[in-house]
Amino acid sequence: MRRAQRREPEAFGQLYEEHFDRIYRYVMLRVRNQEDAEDITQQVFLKALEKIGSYRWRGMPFASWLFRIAHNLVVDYWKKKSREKVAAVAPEEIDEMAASPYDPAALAELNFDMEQLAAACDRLTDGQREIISLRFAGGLSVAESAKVMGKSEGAVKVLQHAALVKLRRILCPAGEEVDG
Amino acid sequence: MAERFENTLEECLEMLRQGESMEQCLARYPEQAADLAPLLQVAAATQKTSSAVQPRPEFKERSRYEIQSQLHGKERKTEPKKTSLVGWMPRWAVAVVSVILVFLVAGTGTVAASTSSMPDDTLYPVKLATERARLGLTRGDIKKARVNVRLADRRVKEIVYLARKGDSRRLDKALLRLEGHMEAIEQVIEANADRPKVQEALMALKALLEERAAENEAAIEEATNNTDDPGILRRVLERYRQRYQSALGSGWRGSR
Repeated sequence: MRRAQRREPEAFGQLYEEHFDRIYRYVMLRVRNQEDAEDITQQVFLKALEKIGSYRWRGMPFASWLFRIAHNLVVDYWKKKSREKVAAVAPEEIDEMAASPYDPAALAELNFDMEQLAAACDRLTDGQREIISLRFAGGLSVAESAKVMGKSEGAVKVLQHAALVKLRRILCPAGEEVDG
Repeated sequence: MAERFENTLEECLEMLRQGESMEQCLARYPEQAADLAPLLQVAAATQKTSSAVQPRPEFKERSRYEIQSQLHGKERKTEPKKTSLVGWMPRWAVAVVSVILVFLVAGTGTVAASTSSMPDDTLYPVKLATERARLGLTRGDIKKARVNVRLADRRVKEIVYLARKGDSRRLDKALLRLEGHMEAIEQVIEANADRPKVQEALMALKALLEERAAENEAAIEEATNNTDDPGILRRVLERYRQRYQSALGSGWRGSR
């Protein structure tokens, strides 16, 4: 890290290789447009390069610091786009999904493509969308996600639970069986 | 109770991440299996769908190149700070000294000759150095942006030349430089959009950009029709259009 902070190409290159795909996936899920996702991903690393000298550990893992940059750029992107807010479904409710009867034999694989996933994420609250993107597209741990979002780990776990419940409800509405 | 479930869910997600099967996770928490199963399913599917998304290799490569260019650029920029000789000098003074040195070392004839050099010429680095010095010596954002408009013209000529030669490696570098000029122009336009005092100069800048863009577009289009690999120039044209249209802004109705 210190070598990267001294802008040694090889050291920064390692960080780039390690995080590039994860950042791209996270951004892609947030903006749903390949070209914009590419622009933002590139900006993340240019910004990281510009600011890396000021990065200090202080409990903030590097991945969290980098995703924080990505998060801020995504927020700026949507501000710029003046995106029409999709009417949010009731926030943070976790009991809205009727639990489907558990049958171990019926643990079929659930399948959906990126377009469906992104559309479903659009119906989540900002926080829920963020935690899904960080955890499953960015591959961050709960602790790392908590640092990006400025929340406690407990709050992130609660948010993750609510987000998964809602995603499930959107992608597999009650009554519809998962295709096996 | 609810808090315990969040923890159990996270433990199961971590187990899945470590390669355990869903059945193994659920067997460990039989009482909560009915609640856990649908969530683990959706989590696993989300993970699978997201993992399938990969950046285009050519984009990753270009981005890597840009970072490396910046890294080397930064190194050059920070070098004077390490030396006590010029570390105290303001940037404009360093630019003046650079120009004088370029003239002294290479001679005015060399510098003049370099202005028409192409990226595969030995004098091309002199051309880039004098351009940087010119930008460094220009005072005022809008004047700098006008210089960038002219430098973008040069990059377009170089791109057309490199496309004819089929030198895609140098062409990619020239395209990055072109985008750098266009971004610098856009930043100036954005930064000055709300400053009443500079509106006239800003309109003149936009008109110049629009005029040059029309001419450059025509040049790229013509070259596209006369090259064996038109795809790369189409990409250049697309990027160039996006950049100058973005710089002009959606409110721009044209100067004519």
